[in-house]
Amino acid sequence: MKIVPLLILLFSLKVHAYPEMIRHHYVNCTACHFSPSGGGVLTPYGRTISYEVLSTWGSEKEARPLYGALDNEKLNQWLQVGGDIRALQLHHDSKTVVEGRTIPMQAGLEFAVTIGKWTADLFFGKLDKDWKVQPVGTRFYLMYQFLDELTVRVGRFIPVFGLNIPQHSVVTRSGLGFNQGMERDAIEGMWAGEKWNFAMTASQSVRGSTVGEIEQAVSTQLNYTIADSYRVGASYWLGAGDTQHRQVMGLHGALGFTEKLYVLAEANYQTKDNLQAKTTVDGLYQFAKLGYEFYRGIHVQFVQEYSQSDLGNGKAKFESYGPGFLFYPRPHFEFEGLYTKKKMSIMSDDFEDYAYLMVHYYF
Amino acid sequence: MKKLIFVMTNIWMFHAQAALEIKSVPTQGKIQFEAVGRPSMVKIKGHAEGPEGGFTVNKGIMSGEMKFALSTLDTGIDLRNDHMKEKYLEVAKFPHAKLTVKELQLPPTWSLQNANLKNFPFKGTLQLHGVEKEISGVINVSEKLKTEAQFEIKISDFKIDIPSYLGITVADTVKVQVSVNEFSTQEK
Repeated sequence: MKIVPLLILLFSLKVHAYPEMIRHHYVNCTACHFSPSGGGVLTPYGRTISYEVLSTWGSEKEARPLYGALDNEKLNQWLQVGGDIRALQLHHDSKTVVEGRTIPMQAGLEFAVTIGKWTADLFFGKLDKDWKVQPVGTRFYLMYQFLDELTVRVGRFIPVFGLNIPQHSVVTRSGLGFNQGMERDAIEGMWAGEKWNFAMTASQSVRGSTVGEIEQAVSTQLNYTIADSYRVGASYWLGAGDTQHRQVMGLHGALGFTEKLYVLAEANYQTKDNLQAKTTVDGLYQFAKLGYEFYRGIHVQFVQEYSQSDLGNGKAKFESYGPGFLFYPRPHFEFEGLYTKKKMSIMSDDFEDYAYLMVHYYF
Repeated sequence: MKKLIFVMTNIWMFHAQAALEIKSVPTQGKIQFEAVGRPSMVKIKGHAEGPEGGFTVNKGIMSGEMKFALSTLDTGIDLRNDHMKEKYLEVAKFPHAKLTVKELQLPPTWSLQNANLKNFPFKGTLQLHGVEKEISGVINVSEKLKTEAQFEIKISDFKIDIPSYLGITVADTVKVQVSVNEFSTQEK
């Protein structure tokens, strides 16, 4: 019973970024997204790709903002307007409980204004558990493009670390504090070249309901693209708060074996020092997804997660695995379903059944 | 001295051989290209059917031409294909690309039985979009005559507008690879 509120928190917000697009040789996120780390409002080119590559049906005009009512070419591409509405139906079945719950996830508008080499981006709106949209800017930044490859941005966003996947509830995101709702005040520089991709971020967490202690951190990520379809990388995080310091080291890969078959994988090792108790806790966080697009816009996938937030405590284990699907029927629509067996050792020694269907409308 | 005479005789015998005609089997070949879209460095890869045509090798000198239909180019995205063929390559007006090689001196030891070439430099003339331009590259040939020619072209050299679409602009330099896995051969 305690699990559902936890899951509501984990599933509370998502953005969409698709590192598996490496299988179509999109070696950097910026072809389709304004954000150098992916996710958020689409570029005009990204909207075309949302029809031409991502969706089963549709048209180029249909993929444009507000179904073509806002014409990118007429606006000379300086203003992009988008937004997201997202909800999830969760089902949980165990020995002691069978329940279903609809979880509001995200509703808001996003604006990106580009003038010359400057881009300002704002995501406005936060959906609360009562389905009310709070007038809050949850993510925003001002970015300057020095070179085709080099950008620097400052604002409030999730720093680059590991794979920026849409499933922000996975342990490699939520377990380490990189999920949505944990945006930080940050300054970030990124070099996004043909082969090499490098990011460095200095950030500070923002005090809120989901953040207990302010953490200041520097983080870095290095990626290398092999044969235009395989991207492998490493990330490092060094964080310091009033009561604890932590280091996180991770390896990740987005591997496009063919234009249909792909694997996403990430493993992170965290060392956390409690300054008051003078104790050190090591933890492991791992995620893998195998996907196959058997028809354009229709994917089957198998997702596996493992974490142990304290390697010295067997009760700190979390395991999850199961099959699912992704369906992008037309531009603006995304459906994702996943059935998983999950075991949270702190709750039970048994695997329990979870299933969700996520509906996302982006405009 | 004996060795030298042996080598010289072999070379003379090779050169004295009848001219060799080599023709590609288009279904057993492929044209591939790779371009980069800036600023996001998106890799634009395309392919087309194999080239048709052939070469004559006479006295160790190879000459000939190969062409392929530009309408068979495919980048995996329909809209991109349409833009590439209609707006930039103007395929209706210029339906083929043709590579002509004149008097390429092959190594003296080259023969059908000893066809191996590795990164062998060549020069030729590429006709594309109504413009002829000299190009240079390398050829790799296997023992079974499996052949790959690689070269780079500049789009602007062929009076093709630099492709640009919704903020993505293709870099001027494009890498091209011509592969032919099977040839028919005939001595004349």
